[in-house]
Amino acid sequence: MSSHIRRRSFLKGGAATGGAIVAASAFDSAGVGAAALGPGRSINRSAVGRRQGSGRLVVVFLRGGQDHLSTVVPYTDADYYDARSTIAIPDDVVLDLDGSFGLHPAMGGLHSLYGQDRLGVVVATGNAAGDRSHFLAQDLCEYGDVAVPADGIGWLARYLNGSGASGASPFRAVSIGNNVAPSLRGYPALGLASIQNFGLGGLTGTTEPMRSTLDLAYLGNGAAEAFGRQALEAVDEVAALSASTDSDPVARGFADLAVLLEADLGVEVATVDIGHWDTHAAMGTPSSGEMAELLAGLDGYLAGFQADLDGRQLGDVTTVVMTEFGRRVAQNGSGGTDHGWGSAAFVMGGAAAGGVFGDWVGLAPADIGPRGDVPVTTDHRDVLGDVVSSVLGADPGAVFPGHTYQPVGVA
Amino acid sequence: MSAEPIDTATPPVAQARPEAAGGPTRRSVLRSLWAPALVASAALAATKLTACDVASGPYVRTTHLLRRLTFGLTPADRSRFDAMGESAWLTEQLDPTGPDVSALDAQLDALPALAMTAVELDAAYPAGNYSTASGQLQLAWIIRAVHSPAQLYERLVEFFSDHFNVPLDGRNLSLLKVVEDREAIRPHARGRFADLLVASAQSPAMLLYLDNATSFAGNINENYARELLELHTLGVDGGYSEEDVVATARLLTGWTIDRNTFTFQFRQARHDTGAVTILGWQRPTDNDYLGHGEQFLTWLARQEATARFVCTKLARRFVADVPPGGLVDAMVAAWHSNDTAIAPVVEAMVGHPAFEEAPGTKFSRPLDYLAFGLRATGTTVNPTINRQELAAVGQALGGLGQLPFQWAAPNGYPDVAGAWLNGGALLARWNAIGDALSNASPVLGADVAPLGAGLKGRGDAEIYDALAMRVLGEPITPIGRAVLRQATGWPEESVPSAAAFDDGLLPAVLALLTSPDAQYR
Repeated sequence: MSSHIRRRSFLKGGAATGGAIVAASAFDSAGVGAAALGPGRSINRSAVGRRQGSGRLVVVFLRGGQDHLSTVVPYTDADYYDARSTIAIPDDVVLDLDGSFGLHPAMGGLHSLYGQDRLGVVVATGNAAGDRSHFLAQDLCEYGDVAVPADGIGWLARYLNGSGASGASPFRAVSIGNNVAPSLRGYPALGLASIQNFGLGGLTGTTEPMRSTLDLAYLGNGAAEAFGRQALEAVDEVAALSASTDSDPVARGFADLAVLLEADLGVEVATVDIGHWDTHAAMGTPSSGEMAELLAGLDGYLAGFQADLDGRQLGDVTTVVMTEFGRRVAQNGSGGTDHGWGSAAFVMGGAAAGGVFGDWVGLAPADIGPRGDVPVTTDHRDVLGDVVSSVLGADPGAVFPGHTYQPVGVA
Repeated sequence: MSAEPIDTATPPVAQARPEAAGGPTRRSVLRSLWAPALVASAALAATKLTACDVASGPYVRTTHLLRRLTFGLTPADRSRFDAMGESAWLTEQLDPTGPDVSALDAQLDALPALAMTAVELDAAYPAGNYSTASGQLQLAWIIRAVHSPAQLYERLVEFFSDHFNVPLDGRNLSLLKVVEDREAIRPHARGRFADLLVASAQSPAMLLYLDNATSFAGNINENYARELLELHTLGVDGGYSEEDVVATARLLTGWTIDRNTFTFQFRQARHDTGAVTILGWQRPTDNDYLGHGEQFLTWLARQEATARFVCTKLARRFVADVPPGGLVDAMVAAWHSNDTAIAPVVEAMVGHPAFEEAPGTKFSRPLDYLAFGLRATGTTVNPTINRQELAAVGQALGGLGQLPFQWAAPNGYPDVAGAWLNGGALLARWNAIGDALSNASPVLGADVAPLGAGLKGRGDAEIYDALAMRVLGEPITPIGRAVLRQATGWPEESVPSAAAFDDGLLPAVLALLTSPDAQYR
């Protein structure tokens, strides 16, 4: 067919849509992200350290229900070892935090950040509703509510809409991935699967290129038209950025995100998803098996991202890490764990306060009750409220209207 | 696409879109417009403003019905539909024997993995090469979507593949999913839901994916039981308790996989034979322990909550993101009066007045969109077992974010506009269709020349009208003509030369397929 067709500086990587074959999904890596600062609002990129309310936020969601007890291990709790006869993390291999809790031995990178007071660890946190459905629990965490709200607006969208700078950049909120994170529902966030593939292809020849045609076709006011213009505007900006070619889509997403944050694009909030935490079977031993691999991966992603940010002197970026629920205290019949409640959360870099936060009531049968869950003592909205207040300078009461904010002190 | 009749007095472009008047530069228009426009669209409503439509015309039920029930319009299918009439067409599509698919089956013979048992797959596709087997299943998905005469059946297979989602994740699941598609999903996708549910529950792929294969008496794994109640039958608001989840898991202990044949096995020795009560269902007192689980699944399929949950999802897939209540009621009634048979439910949906509402407003998922574009352009999808070619197909679909059978969570790919519509996603769609039309993959053979048949030597407006009808199934609007003028470079009110026609045809088709209209069905 038509031999005059040529690719127009098509995707930087060469291949049409090369790269991630990983589909975004509720358990998989998708990622979302940033919002834009309004015109005239400048970021002091060289500032490093805690700066109240002028920072930028990255929200990392661990999809599938991340196991608290293998990650932030209560290594002095005998009930923990009784409940997990084959998959517990022994006390002599944990990386100690505070004499009561330790990180999984695969998490040396985050442990190092903890030692620099740049990592806050929150134990026994979660959504107050305590639902064990992945999908409802994720929704509730991302709405920041204990029931599905009528307006269907995510908590990050509520912040963005409430602090709306006029003429906001298309990059004000970015999700790393094909799908935008539900926390951004109700705000026109940009999905960006990779910088490498964020280019316009199309046809060239003796006629007008695709670009000008699309500019005209997407001039109307419907939803598709508006998002089409967002894409066309964003393409021009992303074209100048250096693209990660990492074959691991999550690592590539974090690397691309650091580039986006450094560029003067108005990125204010960003989201990244990391999947595969639904560990119902064969979690393995401290040194091998699924959990060790997942946590080594997580440590590499997060510590690597922080090192990247540090190298770019982006001290205004704070990362918060959350999941929809933790897993059951006792292991199940498959060497794994079923859906539970209390989970661990992290706040890293930027405005993070080092230390272990949150109350711990123990794992004795009387404490965990008939459900056998880690009891939640800190509402996840209080962890997020800390970063809303300290990083974004917004009122947690406005972002989480049904909740009375009680500071945790982790940011 | 709008439901309004075509208006010959439609204002010229500049008046229809006042923001474009005065001829500001494109960039300044975009800068000033996009922020308020996006705020206005914040709710991500799937509605479109007719003023922006590239194509618009009188409501034609045929176009609407084929855009919703098939993977896209082709001239051949439209002719067949017109010849048969709606009722006979629908009956044939839903009949278990269906339209003649022998030519398609012959094409699929080139993909040997599709016909293999698990043991054969295990032998033929070792650890380093299993993706060649699952890649054949993914390629078969596209071939069937684009080429199968049984279009509605393939749509239902897709729906239930999402409903009972099992991802191609690792070697074991990937190989077992190939078997499950053939033996559990496809045989029942236009049969009884109760039978489909049992087939899914006893499918080795599902048993492995949601861990029921390792759930035994006294040492249960709740994973499958929970998703069975939440995602496959009652729905998260279906009224079950945590105790019901545990009881269901106990009832299904010992449902596992034979280690030699990789087929379903009931290990009674490891089955919990104790009393079970779930939501009012009570285990019988006889010794048919396997039968008890099967009876419970059939009971579940017949529950009102199950009927409502599955019918709402079907209506969301085929009608609207928020299905009209009356429509779902009619489908639920058909579900109950036909003992969970799927075909009467679909007929009730298509026959309901609400099915006609809001044509052209259902945002297409990425694969809907790609298949629509491939069918509209008469593109041939060729089977291949070449590993590099399969990988290239995977990359193309992965870039769209919807590689078939690759959603990791048990709820399947989402089905509402809010999950799919954002700037980056649109960019990926434009690029995917551009790649297809550029023949960037050896698997796809695009040729737009037939779309231009009989149009050479005609006036530009006449050509635009005909192309819009052929590609989108609707007459073009004045705005659409302006877009196509931009794409072709043909002077207004001209007769393009033969060379100009040849040069402009492909950009014109690409412009139609990348337009906002093409994003909806």
